[in-house]
Amino acid sequence: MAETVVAKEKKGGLLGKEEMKLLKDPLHSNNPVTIQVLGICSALAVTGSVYKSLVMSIALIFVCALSSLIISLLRNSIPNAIRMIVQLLVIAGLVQVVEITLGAFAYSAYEQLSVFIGLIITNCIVMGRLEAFAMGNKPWQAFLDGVGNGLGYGFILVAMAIVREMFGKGTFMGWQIMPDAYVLNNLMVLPASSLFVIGVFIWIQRAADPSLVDKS
Amino acid sequence: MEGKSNIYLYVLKMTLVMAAILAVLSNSLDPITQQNRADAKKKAILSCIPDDGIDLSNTESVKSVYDNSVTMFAVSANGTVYNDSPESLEAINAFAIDGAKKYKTLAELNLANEEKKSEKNRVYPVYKYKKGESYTYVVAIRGNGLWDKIWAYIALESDLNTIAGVFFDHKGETPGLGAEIKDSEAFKTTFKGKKVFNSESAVAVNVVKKGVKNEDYDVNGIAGATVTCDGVTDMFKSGMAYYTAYFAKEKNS
Repeated sequence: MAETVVAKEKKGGLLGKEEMKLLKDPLHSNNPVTIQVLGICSALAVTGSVYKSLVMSIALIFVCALSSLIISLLRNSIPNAIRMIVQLLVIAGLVQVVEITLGAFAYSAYEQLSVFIGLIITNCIVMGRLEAFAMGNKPWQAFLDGVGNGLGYGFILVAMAIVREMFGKGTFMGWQIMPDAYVLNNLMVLPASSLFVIGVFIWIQRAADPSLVDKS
Repeated sequence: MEGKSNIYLYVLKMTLVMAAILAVLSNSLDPITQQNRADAKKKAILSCIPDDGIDLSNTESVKSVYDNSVTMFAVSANGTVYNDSPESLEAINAFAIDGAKKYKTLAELNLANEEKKSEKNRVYPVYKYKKGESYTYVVAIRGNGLWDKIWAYIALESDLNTIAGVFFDHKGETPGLGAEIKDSEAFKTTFKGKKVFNSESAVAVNVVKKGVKNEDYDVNGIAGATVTCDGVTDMFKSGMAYYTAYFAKEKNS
C-alpha cells in the first residue's frame, strides 16, 4: 500500500509538478514568441484586432495540442526517414479540420482570417514543439506541452492585439473605448508596428525577470 | 528493401486515414458552409445600399430584408433578361460547357463560374432593391487585382448611372494596401455620388493616383496600392460594359 502511494507521487499523476511546469513555463520563462522567438509571422498579421487574435490563438492551441498528442502516440512507430513528413501530414490535417469547422460554425471569423488559418501549418511553434518535445515524451505530457505553448502564444498575441487595436483603431473587440478626440495612430494599424510592440514586451519581460537575459 | 516497403505502407495507411477523416468532416459540414456563404453574399449586396433602416448585424435580419425587398434576375450582354424561372435556368445552364458548372437555382449565379464560358454566352446578375416606390440596382463586376481576382457589387440609383454604394472583395490582395479596397470604409464612401457613364455612354469611373480632376468620375486611389486601384478602374470598364444593353432597355421602359 505504502509503495504504490510513493510510486504514484514519483510519477506525478495527471497534474503533478512536472506537468504543471509544462503548462506554466511557456507562459513566461519559455514563451514561444518572446523567448523562443517563434511564430512571429502570424503575430504580425492578425494582431490588428483582438477578435482575430483570439480565434487564431484558439486555432493554434487546438493544432499544437492535438498534433503533439498524436505524434507522441505514434512516436515509436514512425519510420525515421519520413519523420518530418509524417509530422507535417498530421499538422496539415488538423489545420484543415480547423478551417472546415470555422467555415461552418464561425463564418465571419473564417472570412476575416482567410489565409492565416492555413498558415498555421508553417508556424514554427507547432513543428518546433513536435521535434523538441513530442517525439521524445509521453502522450499526456506532450499534450500539456502543446496546450502550454499554445497558451503562451495566445497570451502574447492577445496582449499585442489589445495594444494595437486600442491605439490604432480606438476600439476593443469592436467597441469604441478611446474618446472621440483621440487621433488614431495609423502606424499601429500596419503589421510592422507588431515588431515594435513585441520588442517592448520582450524588454518588459526581461526587465521584470533578469534571469531571462542572455548571458553573453 | 524491407525498410522501404515499410515506409510506403506507413505513408499509405496515414494518408488513407487522414483523407477519410477530412472527407467525412468536409462533406457533412458542407451544407452549413454553403448556407453561410450565401448569407454572406446577401449581406454584401445589402451593404451597398444606402438605407440606414437596414440592419445587417445578424443573419436573420439580413435574410428577411433580402427576401422581402430584393428581386434577382440575370441579363446577357445583348439585353435579354432571365428571370427566376425553370425555363430561364435551363437556358442559362445550356451554356455551361468547358468546365463551367450548372446552377440549381438562379441565386447560385456567380461571375467566377460565368468567366469559364465564352463572352457571348455569359449572363450577369442584377439585384433590384425596392423601397417604397424607388429602386436601387445592384450589379456585379469582376476583374484582376495585383495578385489575384477582385470583384465588387455596385449599387446604382434609379438613373442607372449614379453610384449609391459599393462593396469590394478580393482573393489575395496585400493587407493594408490592396486589401484596403475591402477594409477601408473611407475608400468605399468616396464612390458615392460618382457617375459610371459619361455623356457619350462610355464607362468613365476612374480611380486616380495624383488627385481628383473630374469630380463626377474620379475617385482618389489608395497610397501604395496602384496596381489594385488600376485593377478596380479596369474592372469597372469591362464589367459595366456587359450591362449597357440592359440599362438602355430599362431606361426606355
